[in-house]
Amino acid sequence: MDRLFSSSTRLKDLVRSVRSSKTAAEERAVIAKESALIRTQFKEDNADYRHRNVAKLLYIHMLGYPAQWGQIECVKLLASPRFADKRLGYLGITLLLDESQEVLTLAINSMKNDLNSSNVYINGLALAAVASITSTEMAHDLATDVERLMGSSSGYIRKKANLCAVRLVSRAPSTLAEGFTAKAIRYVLNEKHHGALLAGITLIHELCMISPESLAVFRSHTAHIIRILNALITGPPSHEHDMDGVADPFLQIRILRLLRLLGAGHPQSSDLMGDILAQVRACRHTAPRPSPPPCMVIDPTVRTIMAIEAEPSLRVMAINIIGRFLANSKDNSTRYISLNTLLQTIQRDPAAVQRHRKTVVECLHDSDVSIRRRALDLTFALMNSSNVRPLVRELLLFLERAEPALKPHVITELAAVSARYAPNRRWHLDTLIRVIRLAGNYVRDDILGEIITLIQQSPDLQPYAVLKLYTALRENASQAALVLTAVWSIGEYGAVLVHGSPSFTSAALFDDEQSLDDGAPAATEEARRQQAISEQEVLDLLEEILRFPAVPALPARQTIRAYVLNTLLKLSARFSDDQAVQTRIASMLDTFRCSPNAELQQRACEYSALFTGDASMKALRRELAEPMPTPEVQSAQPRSPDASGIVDAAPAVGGAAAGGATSAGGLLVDLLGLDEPIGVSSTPATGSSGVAALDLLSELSLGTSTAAAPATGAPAATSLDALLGLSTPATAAPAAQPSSPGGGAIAPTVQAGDMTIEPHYMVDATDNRILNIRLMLRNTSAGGLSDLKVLAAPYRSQKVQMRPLSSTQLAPGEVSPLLLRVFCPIGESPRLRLRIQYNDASMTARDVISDLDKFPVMH
Amino acid sequence: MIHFLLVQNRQGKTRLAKWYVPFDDAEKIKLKNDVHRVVAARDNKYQSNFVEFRTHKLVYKRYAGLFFCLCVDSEDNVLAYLEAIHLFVETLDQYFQNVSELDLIFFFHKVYHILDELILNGELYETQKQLILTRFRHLETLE
Repeated sequence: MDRLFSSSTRLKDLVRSVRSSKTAAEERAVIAKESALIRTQFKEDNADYRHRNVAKLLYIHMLGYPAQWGQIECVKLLASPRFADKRLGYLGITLLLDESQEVLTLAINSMKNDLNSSNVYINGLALAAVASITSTEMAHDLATDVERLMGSSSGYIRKKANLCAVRLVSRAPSTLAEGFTAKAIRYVLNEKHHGALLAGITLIHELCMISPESLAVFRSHTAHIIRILNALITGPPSHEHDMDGVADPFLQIRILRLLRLLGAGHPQSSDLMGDILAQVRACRHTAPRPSPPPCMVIDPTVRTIMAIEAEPSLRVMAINIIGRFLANSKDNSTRYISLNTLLQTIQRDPAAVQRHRKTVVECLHDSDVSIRRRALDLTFALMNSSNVRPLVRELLLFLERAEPALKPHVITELAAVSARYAPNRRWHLDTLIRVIRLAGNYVRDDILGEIITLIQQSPDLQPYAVLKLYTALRENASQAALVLTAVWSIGEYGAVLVHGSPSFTSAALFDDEQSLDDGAPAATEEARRQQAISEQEVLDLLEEILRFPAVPALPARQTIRAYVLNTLLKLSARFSDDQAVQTRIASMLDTFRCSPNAELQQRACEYSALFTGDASMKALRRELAEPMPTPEVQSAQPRSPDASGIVDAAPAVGGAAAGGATSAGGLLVDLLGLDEPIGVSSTPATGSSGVAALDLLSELSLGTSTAAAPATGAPAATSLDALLGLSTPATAAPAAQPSSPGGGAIAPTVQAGDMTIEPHYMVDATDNRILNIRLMLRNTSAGGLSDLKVLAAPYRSQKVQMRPLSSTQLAPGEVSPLLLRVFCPIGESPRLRLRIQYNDASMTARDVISDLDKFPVMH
Repeated sequence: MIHFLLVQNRQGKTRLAKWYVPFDDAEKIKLKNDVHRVVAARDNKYQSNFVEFRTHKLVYKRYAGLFFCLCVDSEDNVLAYLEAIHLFVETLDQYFQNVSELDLIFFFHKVYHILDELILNGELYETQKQLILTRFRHLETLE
């Protein structure tokens, strides 16, 4: 009885009972019951109720419940002779299936039959389904049917067939593009039916996108396509298609998009388009107020003009139209489009876009986030060295009001443009300080590093910077980046802050500031003159920050405290020996000796130990607080002669690699306590610091070491060595030299690819467990070898060290030595496996493995 | 091209979903939720009808309590799609005579069929309302 009732439940009733469910659980129960009943009926294979059941199933699917199990029933409906069944069946498969599913193959037969049906409406149903879910395999099966229907006498079928063709060629471009190109030329270019033409132009666009051959073919028909557009614009107004007086905007847009593709990079077809594009534009020139339909056409017109090889005058006109749209429109959508178009065209014609700078900047303060976002991107794109000052001022205003999610992006971009276009360092520094004052809690660490590096590299600006940061910090200590920068600077340049510097009072220093900070600096200077900053005042400020950091984020607070502790240690050396000051610093450090934070506690304890009163401790303190060495330039643009030298010598090495090498070298210098930086081995054949590190490490051993071309391998190896060096006492480094050239015995020569390896060896003079090996690599091929790289792996119980290769190139017949040290236990013979990688004369990458195991037993 | 079309009410219940690009079920649910969150949060008065959505763009318009939303390629002409939404809504309105959310629920299959007369394979291919309706009414008589 129940079942009988259910099979007569109509779709409408199901919808009603779902809608009358008061809770989600109730709704789920209704659906579960109904699904179970439908499933039972499907099992019984009852054709009478199939239509109704599938309809209910689709409703269930739409509500978001599983319905995939009904796919087969939909396929069964396709085979039904009734139109209603077919229609629902096709709806079912387009909703429940997609191209990735196997079940689809079961539907192909029905689809093929329906495509061949004499009833155009059944053809239409099948075409719509084919256009929605065709997979690659189906595309091949159905291509001939679709091609035939493209030539149908019914416009209704032609338009659907054209879109079907879009789908088929996109799924099987390589095999189908050619055939459909021929059909498109035959049918579409002479199409009179509006919908079929719309779909047909889409097909041509797709063909041009996927196949260069088709693009070439359609380029030869450019004139024809332009005639279609011309007829549209100049033809009599059509009541059905025109919108707001614009002739059929949808079709115009499609044709314009196609012209963009045909004209881009192809001057001949671009020449043909000039007149018509000017006409599209001119038609709307007098439009009193921009409304969506005109803008709908203007925007693609402008984009087409910018994409093709148009004349410069046409381009300038196009951009001016967009600029006018942007300035005059009150409609957000239109303004959004205009900004987008300007953004896309700025690469092509920056000067023309510059003229609309003012309007763009106004959009920065729009209420719509999409518009603000576009305007922001555009403002950064417009930036150059002549407008950087006013634009950065606007962006700083923007930064202040921007939503938090956007701030990090704005800051990063601001830092990049101010570094790139800064008129001088002073302005650059001012800008960055403004940024951290406004949004210091959103600044990424690398930007922070950039600011500090900038201060370090500008000795003339240091007094100014520290005073400015100090003043800013007193006003507002809630911005993490500002606090960190200021605290660090106070630590480094505390002496200048308190005692002043001779060049500092010069008023000329403040010139640049005027443009940015409107009078504030004059006040700052005045304040400094009136009351010199005392040491106690500085300590007051630091104490307050130490105790109650006003920064919201907890991790940032701990970092700030750690910075303050460091600064206090530095200040104990920078400030006077006044007992009161020193005692105060010591007591401030003392308070953190019991900090629950291990890092802070450790710092506080260690630093406090340095205040024990002993004179030697004081000297040590001074030594520890020596001014930080100025880091080498890390950006891609070399500023110091050394860095540029490296870049010049090894052009293959990117700026980053050079930076990496220098910083690693710097680390090494720090570790060794050397006063003068050593030139790091970025230039071939020097490798001095790399070698120094290896010597240092002679007691240590690396499992596998790399001796690559210094230009590529050295930075990595150096930093690795430097890392290992941390655990090596510097004093324990014996400066043992490997065997002198040509000395010792020679093991049998080994052939490895295009070269021979002749191993010379000698037991080390200081340690009989070490064998110094000198491998003579000889190029035996007729051509030069390049990008040579050697890796060495020792036998399990042994260790190997390797020096960098002197050169990555080997001319024919050339010999290159490679020095190795093998640590081998007494009673074993050294065994090595070499992996040699290089490019041979034909630039083919080669990778050769070669074993060296003919060395004597160590004794 | 259009990647998908969603019609959702203000509570985020989806009344129509048409996918022109294959997604798996979990992804579909996520997309529905995400789109609702993005679109419903925007006040329709002072905002444009476009918003970036992942690597694509949403073009949406609110009609009474329903958001009609298209996800399209980011370089597509969004104004045209906005007009396409309008065309779809006008067609529905004329067919159902003052279309309401209930019409979309009870006659969802007809809504899908009407949509198929406007958009196929993610491309708009017919822009004449009258032609669509005449054709559609004729199809109804065949059932």
